[in-house]
Amino acid sequence: MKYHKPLPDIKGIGETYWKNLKKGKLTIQHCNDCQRMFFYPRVACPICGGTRIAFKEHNGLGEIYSYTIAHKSIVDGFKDEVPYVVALVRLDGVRGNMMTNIVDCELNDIEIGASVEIEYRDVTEDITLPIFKLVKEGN
Amino acid sequence: MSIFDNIAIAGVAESDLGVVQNMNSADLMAQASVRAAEEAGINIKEVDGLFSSSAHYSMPTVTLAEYLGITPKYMDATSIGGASFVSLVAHAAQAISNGLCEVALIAYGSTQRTDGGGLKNITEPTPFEVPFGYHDPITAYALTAQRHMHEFGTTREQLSEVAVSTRKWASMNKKAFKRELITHEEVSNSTLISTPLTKLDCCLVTDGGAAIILTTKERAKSLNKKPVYIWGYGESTTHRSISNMLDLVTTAAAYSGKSAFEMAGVEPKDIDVAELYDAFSINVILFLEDLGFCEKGEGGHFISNGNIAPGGNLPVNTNGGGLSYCHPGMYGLFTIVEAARQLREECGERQVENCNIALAHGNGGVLSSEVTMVLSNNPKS
Repeated sequence: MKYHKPLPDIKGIGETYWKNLKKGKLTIQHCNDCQRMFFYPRVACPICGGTRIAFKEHNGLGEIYSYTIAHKSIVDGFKDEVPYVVALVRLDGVRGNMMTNIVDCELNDIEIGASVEIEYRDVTEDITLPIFKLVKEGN
Repeated sequence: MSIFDNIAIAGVAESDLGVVQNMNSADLMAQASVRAAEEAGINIKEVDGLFSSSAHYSMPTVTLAEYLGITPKYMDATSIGGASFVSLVAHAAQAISNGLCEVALIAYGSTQRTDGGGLKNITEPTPFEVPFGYHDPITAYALTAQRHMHEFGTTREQLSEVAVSTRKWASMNKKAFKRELITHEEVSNSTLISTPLTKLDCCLVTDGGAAIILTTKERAKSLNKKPVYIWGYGESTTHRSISNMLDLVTTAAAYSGKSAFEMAGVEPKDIDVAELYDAFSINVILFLEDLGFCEKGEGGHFISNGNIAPGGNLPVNTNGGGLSYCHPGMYGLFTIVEAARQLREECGERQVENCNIALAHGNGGVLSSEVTMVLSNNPKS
């Protein structure tokens, strides 16, 4: 089936990130100079300027830093799916936010600070997107 | 000593605004330019410094030079979004004060509305946002508004108050696109676009252009209009894409404002009128906090009870702002046009009494670049 939503241009340092997502692994850059993790992928650490950087696997857990429920949209593939949730997720221990969609939940259950976990969504042969779900209480 | 010591604004103008048929973006830019020059009493051919930014033209100063038949000695097409134009006024001052040009024209024009298809946008999609239904720019501003409400208890009612107050000012400006008064309920109940923002929280999509003539203080004194002086200015940026705005409730206005006030030697309490780039209602709340008019988190409370409306303690967006007056995509230059007119006491019904010090604030991208300018009708002592 043809995928109608916008796709990322994966060229660049971030290609490793996208290729690992395709394998079902979330990898985030770790700076070996300041020992911090940051997103999105870069050639230099935005925290300390260091260049000794390596991708490290992340467990895909984090919390919602902010979100909005789109009721009108002009974005291809999304305009017929309103309402949908666009969120900024703060991954545990990572500097920077990851934009994503929160899926499979009641819209009323979404709140800032809620714990979320990654779900790998294959959308094309080359692209797997990091989508998030609310972590159910008791898990 | 500052780059503004020997500089003055000699003319300001808008092009035709609103829905302008049979004009393109260069026409509007040029129309505003010749009007600003005419107001100042300067022949447009005397312009020797050109400053512009554009979502329509890749080389806007070159386009404008060709159009007007000018071969300038100095050009600058800074590209930091809608904030560019406040920045360009400062860059023009720097060029004049260094003797690189004498008559600077800062100009803008856009037929965003009659072009159709909504916001003319040169934003390049980031691979980390584009797959998730990011709708530029409203998703970004909705995310900041939601976080502000979460952290500080800012209410839907307070967002509405910004739009209601701004419309009251617009009702007194014949050039404003929307002039009929609105209620809080009408704002809250207008079409929900992206929570918590409704249609009436969003700026207009209009056509329009603006221009400013900047020259030496000495030259300005012999021209038509009472000169407007620049006392201070600051600019900064914290991010390009909203995912990378690490603190969603604090903009770079905190830095640009600090620089501008320090250079001007004044404080927020000294400001008689504030023209803030209101792409969305939340902008006004964020900027009032970041510029120091109130504490962080108190913006919603600050704007309540008509405090920024006509008759309030701090008149904000006295032309009706991007929400009600005009928003052709990059609103920045209009903040200075209105600040200058208030300082020259030309605003008729909406004139702020005893208006001697004004603040103009430009915003670019998605709260990405912020530029603040303090202006006065008196030279800085």
